[in-house]
Amino acid sequence: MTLFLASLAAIALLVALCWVLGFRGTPVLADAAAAERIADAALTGFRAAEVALAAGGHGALLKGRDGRLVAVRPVGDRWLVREVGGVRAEAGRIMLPREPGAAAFSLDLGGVPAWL
Amino acid sequence: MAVSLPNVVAVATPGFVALVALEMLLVRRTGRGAYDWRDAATSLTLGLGSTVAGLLAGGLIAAAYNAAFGFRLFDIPVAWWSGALCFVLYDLAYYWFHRTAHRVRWFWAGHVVHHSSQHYNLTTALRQTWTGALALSFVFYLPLFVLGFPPALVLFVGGLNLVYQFWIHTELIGRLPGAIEAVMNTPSHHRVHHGSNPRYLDRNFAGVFIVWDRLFGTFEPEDVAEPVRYGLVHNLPGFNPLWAAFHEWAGIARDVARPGGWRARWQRLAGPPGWSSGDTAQAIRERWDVANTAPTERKSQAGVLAE
Repeated sequence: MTLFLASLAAIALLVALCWVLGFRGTPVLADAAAAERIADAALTGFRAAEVALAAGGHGALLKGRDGRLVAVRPVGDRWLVREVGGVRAEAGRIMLPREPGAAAFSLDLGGVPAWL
Repeated sequence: MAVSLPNVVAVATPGFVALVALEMLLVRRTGRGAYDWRDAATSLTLGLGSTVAGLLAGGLIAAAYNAAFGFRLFDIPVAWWSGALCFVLYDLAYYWFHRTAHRVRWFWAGHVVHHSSQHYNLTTALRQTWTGALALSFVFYLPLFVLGFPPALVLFVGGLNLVYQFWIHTELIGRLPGAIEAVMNTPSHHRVHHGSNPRYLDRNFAGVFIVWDRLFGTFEPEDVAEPVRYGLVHNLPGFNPLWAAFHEWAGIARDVARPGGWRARWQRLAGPPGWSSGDTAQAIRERWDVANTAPTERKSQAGVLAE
């Protein structure tokens, strides 16, 4: 038990050091091309026909030439790319399907894109 | 007489903690490599949980090892030469365990945890499975006991193998001198292994000696022109350690319960990861090959976005 508690303390110390050193950022998409590059890298062969960038570059919704709908959204300081079957709009935001093991996430696209 | 050898991992653990702290400071100072506090917390929590899970399953695994040792072909003593031989053979067994863990979904369900970070640093080394015993990873080492290596010796070299693999999880170290890169698993070779780029998928399975990959055709050098994209083909949506530990088992249960013949169900369980969705490493590599052989298509796409 002592060893377990010591391990917990070591974890807490390392995580605190990590936070203090500033490793707590969120990624930002510079432009639509950046969103397309990220989606293409994650989904080999994906070609975007339409891109809607979220406010502040905090994510994007893309429609592929093949009709696939793809969300790019931050997870920690990295990006998560997901094919989404469908999305719904709520109070001007695009709600992404909720996944197990994660909180609900929405994209502020400043309204619903005409192509959606 | 029973042989007593040190628990190498327990001895090394304070060093792990010190080196993680040192790496964080160096990453901050040099800008080389990356950390995220949420990712680090998940990796370290999974590491601690893995130790607890190992203790819980240890009795079962020890019983399997002792049973195999009961059928030993030789009585191999504990000596420098048997230690060296056991170390090399253990690493060979590790190679086949690791290769299988990437090619068969049941084994992957245990191993995926280690690949579930989008970062590559020393905390990633500690991001270990909680379900290794369930995934049957220990069966790959049974031949060593049947050969007659004493269990204490196998566990000792297994600890050395694990400790060796700690330091290679870093972006701070570039390429090492050629002779080392030729024979040993290095940070450069192992970065490739953690890549989700099509070129890097399912490559460099080595633990200590990269020669196994060269020998069995799974070696891929790190290409500076193609930075490694760490993580999974289908990355985790958050930092919940429980979900990281069990998500692939949940996926197997979901997929096996889906309608389909027994052949399909078996493939969902024991086929390559991604078989259900058509996203196996082989399929992704083939798509990538096709995409790379159509440069005009890519160029015109870039043009559309520029407009």
